Amino acid sequence: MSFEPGHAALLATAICFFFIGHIYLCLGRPQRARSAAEWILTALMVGAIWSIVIAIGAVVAFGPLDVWVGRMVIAGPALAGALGMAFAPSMRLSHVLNAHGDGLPFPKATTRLDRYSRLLLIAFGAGVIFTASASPVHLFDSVFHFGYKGRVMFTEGIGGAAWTDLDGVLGRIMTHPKYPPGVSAMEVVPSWFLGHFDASAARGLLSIFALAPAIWIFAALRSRGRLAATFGALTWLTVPLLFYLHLPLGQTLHSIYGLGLGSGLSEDIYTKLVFESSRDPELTARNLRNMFLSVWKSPDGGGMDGSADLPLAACLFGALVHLWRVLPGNSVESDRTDWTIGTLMLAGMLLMKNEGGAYLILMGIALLSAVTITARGNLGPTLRIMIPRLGAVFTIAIVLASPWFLVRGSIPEVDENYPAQLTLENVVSVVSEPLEGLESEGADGYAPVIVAKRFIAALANPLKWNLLWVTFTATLAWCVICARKRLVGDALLPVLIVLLGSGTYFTILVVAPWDYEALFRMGIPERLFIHIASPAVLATFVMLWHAPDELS
Amino acid sequence: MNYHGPPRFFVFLIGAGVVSALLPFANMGHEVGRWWNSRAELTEAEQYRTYQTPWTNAPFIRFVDRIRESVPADAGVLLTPVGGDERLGRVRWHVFLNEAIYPRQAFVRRPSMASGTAMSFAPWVDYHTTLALVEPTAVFQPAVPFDISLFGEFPEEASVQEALVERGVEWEIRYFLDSNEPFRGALLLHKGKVFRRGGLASEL
Repeated sequence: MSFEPGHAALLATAICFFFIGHIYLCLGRPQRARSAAEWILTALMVGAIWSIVIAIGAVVAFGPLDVWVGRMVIAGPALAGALGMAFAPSMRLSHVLNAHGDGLPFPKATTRLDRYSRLLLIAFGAGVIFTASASPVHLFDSVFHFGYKGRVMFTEGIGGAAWTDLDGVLGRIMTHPKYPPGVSAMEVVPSWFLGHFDASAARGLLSIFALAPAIWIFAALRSRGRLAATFGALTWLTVPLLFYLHLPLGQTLHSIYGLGLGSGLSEDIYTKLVFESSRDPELTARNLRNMFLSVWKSPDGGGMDGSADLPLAACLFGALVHLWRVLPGNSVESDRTDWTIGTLMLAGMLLMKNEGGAYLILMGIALLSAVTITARGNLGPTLRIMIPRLGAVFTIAIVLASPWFLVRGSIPEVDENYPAQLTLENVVSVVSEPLEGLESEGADGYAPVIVAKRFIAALANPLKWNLLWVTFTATLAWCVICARKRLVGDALLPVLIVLLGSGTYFTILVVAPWDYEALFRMGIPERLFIHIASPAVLATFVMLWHAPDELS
Repeated sequence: MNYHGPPRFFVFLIGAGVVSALLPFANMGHEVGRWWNSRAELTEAEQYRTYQTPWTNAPFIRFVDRIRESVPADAGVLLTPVGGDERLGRVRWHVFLNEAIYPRQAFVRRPSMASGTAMSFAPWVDYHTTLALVEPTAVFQPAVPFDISLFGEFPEEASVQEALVERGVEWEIRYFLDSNEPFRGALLLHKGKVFRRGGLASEL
C-alpha cells in the first residue's frame, strides 16, 4: 500500500481535530474521570464537529475558500490547542488524565472472560478503522448526496446556483438539496489540506463515528461493572450493519438476502423469479444481473462509507450520553465539560441530517420528561435549575448550526417533505383504509400493518443487527412486567429517546406517500434505526446492570 | 459499591449476541484478506473503478473521460435522455454524470423532477418522451442536428432554449436509458451540431 497525498491530508486533519477538541474539552473545566481512550476519541469527535461548524460558517459567510485560507481556518484553532497543551499546565494531557481520570486506557482486566472480551473489543475497533479506511467513497448516497455537495462547497460555496437553481423549465441537479452539508464539510476540511477536493479524503476519520459511541458506552457503564462496560461496548461494535459489504458466504447468499430480506421482497417472489428465469435464458441473465446490481442498492457497508446516518447516530448519542450524565439524580459522574460536549453534539446533529432537527425536539421532550419524572417531590427547584440550563444548551446548538439554516430557506423543496405529510387527514386515512391495490389483503393491506411487519422483520434480522434489538425489546418487556423501578432511574432518558425515535419513524413511514417496496429496497428502516441503536444499547445495559442507589 | 447483575436469561442473551458476532468478525477477516490480495496495491482511483456500480464501471468512466476531454471545465452541459425503456435507479445517468463531469455544470429540463428521489425519475423521463426530441432510432443515424423547429408544438421548449442561452449552455449530451450498453449511440452536441458520437469502446 503506497502513501498517497490524501493520507498526509488525513493525518493533518486528524491532528487538527484532536487539538481543537482538546482545547474545547479543557475550556469546559473537566472534573470527572476520563480514560485516555475516552479523552482522545471525544476530542476527535468534538474537533470534527467544531471543524464542520467553522467550515460551514466560513463558506456561507465568505463563499468558497482558497485552500490556504481553508487550512488556516482549521489549523488556527488547532494551533491554539497545541500551544495550550504545550504551555498551560491545566491543559497537559498528563494533567487532565492523571488529575481527574484513572490515566489508563481501560481499567485493568482481572478475569479470563474480561481479558478475552477486551481483545474482542480491540479487534472490532481495528475492524472499524479498517472498514472506514480501506475503500474510497463509492456508494450512492455517499457519492451523490454528500460527496457532490462537498465538491460544490469546495468549488462554488454553499447556497449558490448549484443549490437553488433547481426549479423552473431548466436548471441544475442536486439530489436531496436540503440535506445538511455536515458530512460534506468533513470531506472539504481534509481537501483543503490536500489542495483539491477528494470525497474519500476523510474516510479513515469516519471511524470515529463508530468508535466514539463505543467508548462513551464503555465510560457510561464503567461504574456498573467491567462486564457491563465491555459487553455494552461490544454490543454496539458488533452490529453487522457497520461492516457488511458482502456476506462471507458468497454472492448467492448475499443475493438472496439482498433481494429477499434486505430489500423487503418476500421469499416467494424470489422463488418465482428464479423459477420463471429457468424457462427463459435471456430472462435468467437479466434477473441475475438485477440481483447482482441489488448489492449496490443495499445499505450494507454504508455505515462508514461517507453517508450521514452513522455521523448523525454518533452526534445524537454524544448529546444524549453527556446530557444524561448531568441530569439531577443520575448515578454516574458528570462535570461542566459534559454540558459543553452535549451542546456541541446537538449542533452536530442538526448539521448531519434532517432527522437531526426532529431529534432536537425529541431530545427536548425526553430531557424534560426525564427531569420531571425523576425529580420525585423536588420538581419545582429542579425545573428552576434545569430549564434555563437546557434552554441555553439548545439555543447555543441552534446558533452554531444557524449559518446552514439561513441558506436552507432559499433552497426549493424538490424531494420528499415528510413533516408536511403528517396531517390529521393523512393519519386517519392510512389507519382506516387499506392501501390502493391491497384491499384484498385484509388487515395486511393497511399501511400500519405493512410498516410494523417490516420493522419486526428488519430489526430481528441477526445478519443486520445481531441480537441488539431482540435484547433491547426483551429487556424492556421484562422491566415493564417485572421491574418497573428500573425504568424510572438512569434508564429513563435513553429508553425515551429510543421509543420516541422509533415511534416517529413509524408514524412518518405510515403516512409517507411512498412505494413501500422501493422504500424497503433502499435500506429503510435499517438506516433509520442505526440512529437509535447506541441509545438502545445504553438503555439495555443500564436497565440490566442497575446501581442499587438508583432503586432506593 | 455493590451492583446487582441481570437475570441469567439476559446474560445468556448478551453472551449469545457476542458469540454470534463471530459472523461479522469472520466477515471482517474475509474482507481484510480480500482487500490485501486484490486491492492493497491499488491507488484510490484504481480501487474506485473496481466496484460494480453503474457510476464506477468501465463504460461509464470511459464515457466521462471523453466528455472531460471535449468539454471545457467551465462549460455548461444539457443532459437529455432520448430513449430507452429502463426506469430503474441504475440508469439515472443524469445524476451520475452531474457528479462525474463536475466542475462542468450539468443542466436538465424540469430540474425539480430530476433532483428528486428515484420515485420522480420515471415521470421525469416520460416528460422527455412527450417532447419527442428525436425518434428513438434516430440517435443511431449519422447525424442528428439539433433543430429547434422540432419543438414547435411544445411551447415550454422555447423557454428551455431561452434559458440555455441565458445561462450560456452550448453543450448537450443525448443518451439512451440502457444499463446493458450504457451510452451506445450517445451524442455530444456543441451548439446543436454533433461534436462526438458514441460511448462504447467500439464506437470510439
